[in-house]
Amino acid sequence: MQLLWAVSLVFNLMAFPRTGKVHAAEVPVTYSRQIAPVLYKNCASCHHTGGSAPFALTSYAEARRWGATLDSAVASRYMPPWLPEPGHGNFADSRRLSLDEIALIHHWVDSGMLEGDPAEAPPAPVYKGEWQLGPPDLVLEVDSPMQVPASGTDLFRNFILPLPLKESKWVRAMEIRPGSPRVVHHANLILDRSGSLRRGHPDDWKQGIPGMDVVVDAGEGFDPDGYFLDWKPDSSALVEPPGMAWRLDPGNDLILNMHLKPTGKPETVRARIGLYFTPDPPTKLPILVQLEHDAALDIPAGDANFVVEDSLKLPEAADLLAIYPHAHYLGKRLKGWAVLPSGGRKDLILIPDWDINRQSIYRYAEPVPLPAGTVIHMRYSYDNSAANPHNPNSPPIRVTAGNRSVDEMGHLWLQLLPHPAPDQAGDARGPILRAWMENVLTKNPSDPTALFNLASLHMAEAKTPADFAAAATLYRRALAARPNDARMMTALAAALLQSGDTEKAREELAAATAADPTYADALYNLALIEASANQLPEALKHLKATIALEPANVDAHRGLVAIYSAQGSLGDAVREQRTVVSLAPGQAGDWNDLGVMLARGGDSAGAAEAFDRALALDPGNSAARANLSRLQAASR
Amino acid sequence: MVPRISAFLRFAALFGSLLPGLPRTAVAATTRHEGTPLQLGDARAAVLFFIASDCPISNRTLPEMLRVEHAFASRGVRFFFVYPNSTETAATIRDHRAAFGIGPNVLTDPGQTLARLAAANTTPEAAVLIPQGKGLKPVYVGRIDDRYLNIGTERPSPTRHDLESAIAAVLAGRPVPPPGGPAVGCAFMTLPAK
Repeated sequence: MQLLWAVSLVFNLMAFPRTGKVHAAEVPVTYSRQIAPVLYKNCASCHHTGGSAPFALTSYAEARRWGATLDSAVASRYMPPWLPEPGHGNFADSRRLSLDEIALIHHWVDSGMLEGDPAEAPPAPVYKGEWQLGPPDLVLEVDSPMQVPASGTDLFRNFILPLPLKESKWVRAMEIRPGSPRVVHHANLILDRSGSLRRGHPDDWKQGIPGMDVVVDAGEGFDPDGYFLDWKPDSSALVEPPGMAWRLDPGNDLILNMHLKPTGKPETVRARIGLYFTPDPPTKLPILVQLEHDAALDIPAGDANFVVEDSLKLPEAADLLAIYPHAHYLGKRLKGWAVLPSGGRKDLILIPDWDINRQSIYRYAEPVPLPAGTVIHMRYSYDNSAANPHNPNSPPIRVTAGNRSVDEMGHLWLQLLPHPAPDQAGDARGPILRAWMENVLTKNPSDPTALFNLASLHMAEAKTPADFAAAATLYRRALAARPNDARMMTALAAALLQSGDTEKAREELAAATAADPTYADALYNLALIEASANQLPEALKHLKATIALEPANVDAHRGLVAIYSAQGSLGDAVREQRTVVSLAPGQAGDWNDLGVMLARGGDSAGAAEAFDRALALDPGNSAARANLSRLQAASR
Repeated sequence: MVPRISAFLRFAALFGSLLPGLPRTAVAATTRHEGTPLQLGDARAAVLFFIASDCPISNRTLPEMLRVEHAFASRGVRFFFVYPNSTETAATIRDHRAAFGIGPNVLTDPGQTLARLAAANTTPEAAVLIPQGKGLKPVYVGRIDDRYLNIGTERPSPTRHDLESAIAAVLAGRPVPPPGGPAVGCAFMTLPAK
């Protein structure tokens, strides 16, 4: 009897509602007439030979082989992978099958999987193994291939790809080729403007850094991330809308965050990224904004319905272009919606049964207009009970926020294109970033990143010494939360300097160089303060230290020129100025300065050549023209 | 609930008639499976693993099958890997064995005779057979472990090793616990209509 029990359990398979219509009595369902079109449209982009799916569905024989499995996979909506509930956001490229299509497949399998007349089948789609948009302008490859073991839990790894760029580029399209698509479950590409992850892992970055999520340092300047750059098994090349190319600068790294799934045998993964450039800079600058409340993520063991909420009020109108809900294995029901100033409600997304294995970025079929004053909400629920099969902890344990797969997260990322008011000055992304950071501080008043960003926004808009002093106060709060952070100390020094407190600025910079002797910006700024106080030997020492860290730092070389000139060391000054023009040969002013120095040293021919270079670059450069005339007059 | 009950009854009937039918020593000319003779020899039990070279869940579970084989091969249990789909060829099986490290005890069962006798219908699925009279009797048919709950739901790692428990029970002479849930994976390829 026990065996009978066992077998009956085998057939306790889910009874899925099948309410789609198939007019079976009228037409027999055949592969050629009804099934091939459904499979080619919805399945073949992954399920083709060489594709990311484990088997192909591009012929009658293949469809027949998989018929019974196909039937249950589409009935349970396991396939095609598509998590959002219809009616909560209208997304481009929805993969959800209609009930009629599901019923059609069921009927075909049930009635013996007839082929029908092959002449009736549409031509099978053809997929090329090459880059979908043709040869890329730049191909990057992960430094060392990763060995994925045959079995075990899923792996999350961040591969760092330094960019070999000499100048900034605009990227209009990108394709990620994961190397072994059956191992790679999804991938996100992150821009590391400052190379911070690589610098943080000097010894092991080539092997890839473990972790489901990464936080990178945005670097200097105001340039918030604005783009979702992702790959999943059914992804095609990612082409940005017109006017929305994204920028890459020399020194940037790309970080490929990959979710890898053991296949049963050892696999080797080595991803490549193809980039397509455009000469046209963007005309529209979107911004990514995050709703979250990770600090509140403290889920008791066994809690089957733990809720986290957040909301954010938009200070200006914006179009919502795409949305990315993210949780780990305990996430259950993920919901995002907007309450408009009119009081109306707009559902943005609902994922009733979250599954990280099928996470995705969802792009709206049409931009969703959100007026100024719209409040965006997220509400995520989590199941930390033993009944959640995805629970990484058995038995369940208390779970808090973190980037390991046994930790949890609750993020709702939005890609917004701001529509500033006609009289609004400055970067349109500023007010949204400010609202986001202020929202972070309402949840965690000492969040150092939010304080730092907010202070930097103050700095960008500051006009009076009092404004800079206000920025300095915010930097001090950030520093209190993250003491001895050389960059925050340097930023504080900049605010202090502009508020008029040179002495405090110098102290802060000296402390910054002590905290991190490899932070070049602190050394450089300290040298500037020393130079302006006429402390030339100290300034010289700190500029040399800057250049030891950053040999191509043109400003530091210019600083050396100034100090050598002031000290009367003309030979050293000329040598440094030659370095300046070799590093930045496009600046007419630098060539003019070189000409002046050479003329003073008696090298008339060299000076004339330098003035000529300056005038070739900038024919209207009056200083170079006057200098050249003077030189020619003197030589007559 | 109605389909569940009918399935129960249908298979009850099937087992009633077929249980003693599996020959103890093997590959009779009337069956269409090929490969290593399905012989127990001195062993106390045989385990059949139904697998498919093109089924991802079967492949992901192969390391666990090989682990179980390794754990019990020296304890009087013989293991056989059975390919039940007629789409498998000598080449697909050779490549598959090499890639996954599957040993020489391999059977093909394109007519699904063995599968029918053991009442297996999914890759991956296991059957534990013990001698009974001149034949072999299945005492466990079902999943290897509980990693997959259904085709779209996967645990990070299994919490219940059903097959391993069944084999241990057989060796200890205890009643064999049934699988705690359905075998999840790829349905066997449907045979052409006669």
